[in-house]
Amino acid sequence: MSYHVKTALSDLWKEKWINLLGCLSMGVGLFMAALALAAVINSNRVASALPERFSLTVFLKQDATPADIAQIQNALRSDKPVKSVAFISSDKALANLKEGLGNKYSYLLEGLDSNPLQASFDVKLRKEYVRTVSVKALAASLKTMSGVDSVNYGKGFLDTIQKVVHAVSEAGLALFAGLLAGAVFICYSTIKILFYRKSDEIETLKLLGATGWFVRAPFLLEGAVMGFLGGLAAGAACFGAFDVFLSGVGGALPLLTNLSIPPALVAGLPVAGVLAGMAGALIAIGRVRP
Amino acid sequence: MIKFESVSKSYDGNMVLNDLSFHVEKGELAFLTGPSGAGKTTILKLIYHALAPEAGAIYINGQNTCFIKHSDIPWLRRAIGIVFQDFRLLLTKTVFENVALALRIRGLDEREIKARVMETLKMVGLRHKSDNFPQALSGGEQQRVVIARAIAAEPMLILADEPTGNLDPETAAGIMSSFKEINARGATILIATHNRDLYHNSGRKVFRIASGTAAGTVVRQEES
Ligand SMILES: Nc1ncnc2c1ncn2[C@@H]1O[C@H](COP(=O)(O)OP(=O)(O)OP(=O)(O)O)[C@@H](O)[C@H]1O
Ligand SMILES: [Mg+2]
Repeated sequence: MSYHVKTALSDLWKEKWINLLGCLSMGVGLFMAALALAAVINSNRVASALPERFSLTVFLKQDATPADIAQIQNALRSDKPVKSVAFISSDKALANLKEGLGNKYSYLLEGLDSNPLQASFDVKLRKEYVRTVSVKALAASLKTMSGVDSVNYGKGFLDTIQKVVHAVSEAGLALFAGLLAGAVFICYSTIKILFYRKSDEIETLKLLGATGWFVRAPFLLEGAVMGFLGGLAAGAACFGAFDVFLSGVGGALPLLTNLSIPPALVAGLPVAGVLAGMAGALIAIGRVRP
Repeated sequence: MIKFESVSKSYDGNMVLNDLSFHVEKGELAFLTGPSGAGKTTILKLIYHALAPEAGAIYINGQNTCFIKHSDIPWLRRAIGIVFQDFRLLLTKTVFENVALALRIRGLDEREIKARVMETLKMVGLRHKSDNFPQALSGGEQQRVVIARAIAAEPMLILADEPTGNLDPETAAGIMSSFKEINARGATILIATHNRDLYHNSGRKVFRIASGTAAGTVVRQEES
């Protein structure tokens, strides 16, 4: 084993410029891959830290009395996080629905002899409060008031956020996979060059009875070392880039102080580098035919 | 130990060996001779399976190597020590490491490797050059490193292709006596050479290859 290690290190040193280039290229690839993954992780984290909603709708019972309605309205108005309250009568709701359906389908509603829609309050919340105040608690207290049928908190907004997070996650993961494949490819081409340069020596090893793994071992180690060093460089770059980012853009938006590059991700970079390097080396050498 | 049965081999349509048959018994020390280009190196390459014949069968230690599995080729080669005509030394490694390579490939441990390499280098008179690189050696010294690498692992079969081509008669005689000693310990040895001095009056079997016969490669077996 120590023989393979010695061979690998001396080979790496002999071709140090090619290998340095390989290390740095792998480092760049891994760095960008880490950023893509960090984007995915952070978008998920921001989404979960976000208030569940910025607005809520209070649906009223059909038999709610004007007194009930007034009481609810007053309760909402006096609540600090509430920015605005709009009352939507059942007639208005039906009109909105008709408008939403358009002329073509409005006949669907013609057969109705009574208005099935509920009156409601459309409540907008102040952004600066939604993080500290539990919207759930507000909704729960509203629900206990007489005349309130149900409280619906901005599901649509939540869905949008989730869609955005999904899109970021998918694009980020695809980018991550692509960049990781790029790192593998860089190692592949670097090792391929070394492999060709040593083809004469490899032929001799095989004639002396070396197995495929004996021939492969130094190259695998070289790939692993290159990947490891590339991963270390990428990790250092991650910390550096993140500091710059936080002191610049990050400070301006309070939401972004929540962002971070997870230490586990950075610690994983050399490991990912080793795996990518060995994979690249394996593909480069391929099957060693006797 | 080695048995060729009607073996034919050609390069790009040029027939080099045609319907060749001969055999070397276990424990023998035999010679292979013939003019340059007759096919001596080709025969050795067929034995260690760097080449495969187009026709015929080759048996090494009873195994027909024409049907050998890829994964078994390293094992076949580890049973053989080869002195290559073109040396095949690794120029980036020291004399010690070149000889040690044969033992590392066979999985020996470091202590045994050190002892055996030094012992073998002493045998070929190159103990003092163990830390040199091949390019700092004379042709004859390089040749002796190759011989050391071939015999260090004590293989049961040794193939030597012109092993004394770069040696003065005295050193050549020294190498020959080493071969005889190894042979006396049980190894089978086949030496391809032009050097008549090596086999003349040695009392060993000599296979002489005559080239260019249409009827087939004639191998005359003569007692020297
Ligand atoms: N790889 C090759 N491609 C094409 N022709 C080859 C190849 N190797 C050998 N030959 C030819 O095969 C013939 C036999 O070559 P071989 O090396 O076996 O001869 P030899 O008996 O070892 O000669 P020498 O005594 O000069 O070493 C020669 O005519 C040579 O030109
Ligand atoms: Mg030859």
